[in-house]
Amino acid sequence: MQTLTISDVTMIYERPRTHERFRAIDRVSMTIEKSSFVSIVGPSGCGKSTLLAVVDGLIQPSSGSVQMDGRPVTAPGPDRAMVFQEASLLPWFTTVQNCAYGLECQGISRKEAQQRAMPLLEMVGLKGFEHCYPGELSIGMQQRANVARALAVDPDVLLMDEPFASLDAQTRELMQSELLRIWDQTQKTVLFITHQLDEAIYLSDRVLVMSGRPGHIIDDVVIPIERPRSLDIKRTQEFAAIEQRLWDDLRSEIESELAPATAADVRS
Amino acid sequence: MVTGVVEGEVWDPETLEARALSRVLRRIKDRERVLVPTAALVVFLVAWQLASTFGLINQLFFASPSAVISSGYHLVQTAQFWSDFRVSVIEFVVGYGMALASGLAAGFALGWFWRLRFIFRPWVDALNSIPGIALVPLVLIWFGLGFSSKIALIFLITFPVIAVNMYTATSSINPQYLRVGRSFGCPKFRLLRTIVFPSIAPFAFAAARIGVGRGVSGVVVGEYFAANSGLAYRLLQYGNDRQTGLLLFDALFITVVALGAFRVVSTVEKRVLHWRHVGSHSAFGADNT
Repeated sequence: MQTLTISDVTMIYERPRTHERFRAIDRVSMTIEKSSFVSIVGPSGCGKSTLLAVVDGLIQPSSGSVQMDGRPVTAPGPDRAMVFQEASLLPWFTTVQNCAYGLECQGISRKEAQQRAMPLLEMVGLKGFEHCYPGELSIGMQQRANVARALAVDPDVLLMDEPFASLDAQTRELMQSELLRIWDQTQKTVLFITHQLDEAIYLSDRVLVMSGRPGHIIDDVVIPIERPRSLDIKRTQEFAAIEQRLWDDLRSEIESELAPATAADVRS
Repeated sequence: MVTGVVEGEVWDPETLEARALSRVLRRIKDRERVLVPTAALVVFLVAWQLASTFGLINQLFFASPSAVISSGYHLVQTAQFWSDFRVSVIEFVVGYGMALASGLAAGFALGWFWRLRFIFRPWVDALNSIPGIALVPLVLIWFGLGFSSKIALIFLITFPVIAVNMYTATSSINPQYLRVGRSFGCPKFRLLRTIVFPSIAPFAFAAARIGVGRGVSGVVVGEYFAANSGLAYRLLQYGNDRQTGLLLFDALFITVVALGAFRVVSTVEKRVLHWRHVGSHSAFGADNT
């Protein structure tokens, strides 16, 4: 029972003025089972967000394809919804208007869209803040609203692009366990991007490791820790061992990125 | 005694009198933002009046406040004053209205379609950077002396600044918001309505506010060169006649009307962009969960 198949996706960009071409991601393939939680980790600038944008249909890959249940993805669709990295709530809409936005884009009436958004706001713990503007919410609350907006369109796959990157450590941990609770309730397929190794392990059934640019998959780790998971598992031996393995995968990538700069420093 | 032993009783800062006093002081402190400038204005006016009365300022060059007030008192009772007022207001409303509507539309088009921007931007920038008064001879050749030449002048002075502000705003819409719209499959027209227009609305109002100042100077310049009525035409006349009391009153009146127009734009802005005027407390309030 597969949901999302990414096969041989390559993304080549051309720099605007120099016309220099560079490969952002290189032949990335993966199959993501329905209702599973899969994370992608990798050094910054490795093309994780590009891959997610391809899956969402926001950009077209240079070669390769993405398929949902066997149907090719060519544009954004209601079967996938993105939770963006930064503050991406529309500041001129209240929380409930923001959450209803995706539904309204599908042509559902404002009234019905807002009615359908309400229970999701409650699920993410924003009851009582429906009529606040994003400027009145903390960053953590904004990201909750962001999650609710994506869930409101009832997608099969939730695409999350470093959604907790700008939160402080305590809030992030809290949001991680909230996300697991929501995932458990909704049974969505989640493709989650992060550069926090512990976040990826704690949340996921499977963690894929991407190399530095051009990004390709260098490791595929199944997380055998049983669910439901408490935050305490982050301090277990098993958890540390997986984190060590991921770190070993990434270390050489990060070191090779840094290498040229170091050599130059030595020469000067 | 500072330590406060009064006739064997410990002086209690919480006595009724002390509380009443501190309340008065606090009330004064709360109104400081109004009281201080008002007091400064009063001091300035008194000093000006005294300087005039004791001959430090020649009345022929600069009227005293009392002379301004008495000239104004007589002026507002004349029919001519109000017909001048009407003429100027109509010029402003028509010229500014045309400049605002077309400036917003043209600026948006230049910001949205980069080819248009490449073609027309230098012209709009050039028009925006030359002083309006430099255009007077050309406008007089085109439109002659009369209503249309004044409207043309107001338009030429006001339009470019609005257009420039609009194309800058339109070409710098946060791409993240557009990505959100596209990700949710938002149809193009709805994207304009729900993301593009709200993004540029604050800049449109800023442009409208800057445009008020430009529009008023357009009225003044227009009436200096191509009019036989209007508040600014009268300003020039009073100057020629050395009637500084009337001149200053007229200038003050134009200023007040301009400020009123400015206020109208700000009020509409506050109504329309109410989302911008909430949540200023959130930088310090709201816990981070």
